[in-house]
Amino acid sequence: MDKREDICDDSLRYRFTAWVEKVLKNAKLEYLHNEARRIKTISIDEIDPELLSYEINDERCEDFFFGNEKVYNAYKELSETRKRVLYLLFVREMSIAEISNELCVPCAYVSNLKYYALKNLKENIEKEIEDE
Amino acid sequence: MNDRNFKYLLEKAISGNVVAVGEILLMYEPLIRKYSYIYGKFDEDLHQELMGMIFRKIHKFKI
Repeated sequence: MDKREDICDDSLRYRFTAWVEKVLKNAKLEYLHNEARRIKTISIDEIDPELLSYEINDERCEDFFFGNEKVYNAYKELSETRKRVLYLLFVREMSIAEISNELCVPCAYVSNLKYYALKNLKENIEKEIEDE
Repeated sequence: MNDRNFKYLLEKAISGNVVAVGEILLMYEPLIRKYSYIYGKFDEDLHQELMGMIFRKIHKFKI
């Protein structure tokens, strides 16, 4: 290899290393930015076993005392997450902050779920009444 | 590896040869590792992310 090629390849290697460093720096900044906004997750072993044990199924409807069959039917149609939030809120009488801590989700998400669960429940009940 | 090989390897990597990209990643692993520390602690996820980023972006480098 002659000297000119040598210098040329050295400069290529130098440019490539500089480029890699730039990419790495930007990627790291982006990662840290996303990390700050990412919801904190924990290992499944660290979760309270009691929390895992209450799986949501139709039997869970029995946790509530439904004076009215229409309410029971309306509740059954809700999505699993909404049912779970209603269960934690009204059966276990936990606050929104406690639920957000236990499920490892933001408070705003829990209150959002609560709002839509109640709204949905109301709509379902109204639909049931109309159907009669 | 001499420098002529490096240019050849880089050209192959840029044109999409996975083996060449792998070799370059191996060559630059110490540098990637250096950037994978957050507050003095090695972050496995970040390391993976950086490896993936180089892998995805290497074709954009202009010789």
